[in-house]
Amino acid sequence: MFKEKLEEILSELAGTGEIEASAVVRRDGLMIESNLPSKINSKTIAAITAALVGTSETSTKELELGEFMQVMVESELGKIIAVGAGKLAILVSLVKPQASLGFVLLSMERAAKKIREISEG
Amino acid sequence: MKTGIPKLSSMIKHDIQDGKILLITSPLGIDVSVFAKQIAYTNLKEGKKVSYLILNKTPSNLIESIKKFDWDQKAIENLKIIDGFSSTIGLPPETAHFINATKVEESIEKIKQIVSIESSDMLVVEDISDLICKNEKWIEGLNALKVLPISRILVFTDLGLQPDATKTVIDSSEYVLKISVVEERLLLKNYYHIVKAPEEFDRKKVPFRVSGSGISIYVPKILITGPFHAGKSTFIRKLSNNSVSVDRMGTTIALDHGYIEGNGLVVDLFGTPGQERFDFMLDILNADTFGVILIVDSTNPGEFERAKTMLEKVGGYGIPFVVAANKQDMEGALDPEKVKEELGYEEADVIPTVAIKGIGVTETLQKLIDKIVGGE
Repeated sequence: MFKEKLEEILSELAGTGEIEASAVVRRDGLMIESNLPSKINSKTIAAITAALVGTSETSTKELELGEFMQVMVESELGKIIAVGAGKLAILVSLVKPQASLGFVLLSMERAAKKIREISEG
Repeated sequence: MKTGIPKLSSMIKHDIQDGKILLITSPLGIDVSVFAKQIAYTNLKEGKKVSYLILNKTPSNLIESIKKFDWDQKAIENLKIIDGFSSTIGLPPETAHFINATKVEESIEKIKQIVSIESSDMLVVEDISDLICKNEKWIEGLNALKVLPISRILVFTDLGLQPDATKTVIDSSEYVLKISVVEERLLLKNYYHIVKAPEEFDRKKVPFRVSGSGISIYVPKILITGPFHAGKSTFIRKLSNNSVSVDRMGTTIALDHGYIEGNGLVVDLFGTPGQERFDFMLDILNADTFGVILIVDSTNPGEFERAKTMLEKVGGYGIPFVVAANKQDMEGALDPEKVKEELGYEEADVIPTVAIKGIGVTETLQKLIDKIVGGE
């Protein structure tokens, strides 16, 4: 079952100690799997993550900047990073403010690759 | 008899007749006992007497799994459990009523006695396949239980091992409800539909999910679209328990999102921007849409062409849709018939709404849900 595999990937990301929580969402805004705290409305996160990545990809394309890589939102208490994970999915993570960015991005890319393999077989 | 399962009675045109057998069947891998539990609970709440023969877990485990739902705990206490499990793992029975399912004739006599002592209105069996695994004689034994004059709810996980058994079990039931699961592009979709009933019935598949209140119809995506300033965001706000809007300067620039939970229904709503310059959002949001609500400003027929284009862009002609003729309270608003005519949608349902006052919004959604899952 893909759900268990995704759960495992998300808990590996949490295990890095640099990422608070993550979610795998569909590109059209539906939630697939997340370990976001229950006080956060995960359905909404799925919808706005899809908009965040969708609009960023469109910007990249319209400005002829080559391939889209990731979107990063820097806020007072942390960062939101989202990367594409194949044709169907997006991986989004809530990153601690003092986290090492290189390490986080590398972990997310690895996870995104696994998610792509699961979703596209 | 009532079932408490959304849409079921409208699928078979009326309630399930008393004294009949309802078989709930599913392939291996989905736990469908929640259907049996919900039916048992619905009847307990009505003051009916329900006996529950459990074969795949202990009575205390069963009670625990029922108490997880936010149901009336007092009603649950009246459930009479027949322990058909403990004996098979060499434990003493947990409840006053119990059977040893390896002994078919003896068990049948005992079940008959229990049902009569408790003057039960209903017997639930979870799970028929556990009986058949214990002793193949149960395939015929089940027929012996047919003489019981009460309603029976049988859960049957079809292991696919004994096609004969499956056929016999289905043949001897008056009603068969089938549960299926489809995995589609990373989404798990669960459905139920009737495959057998004594009279005419609707074969439409109902998407569902299980939450704290039990089984709900689940529609993971309804798109709300329409031209600029038609009232889409207001519509979602009025309809939802909880909603967010990515808007700036009074117009939606990315999307609105809301969801509805209650009365046996869970729905996620996605609102699109209306202005043409944000049309790329339509492509991002439109995959796997179950239905579309097209909102138009009834005072502004000049925008109807735009509305039709938007419906086309989200794939609206191929999927169920309804039209909300909004702003009916404003001067110069065209009536729903006129809106239909101007749009040129002869077959479409057009519902008059005043979104800002919440008038007609629930009716519009209900109409669409009926189109998606069938119903009255």
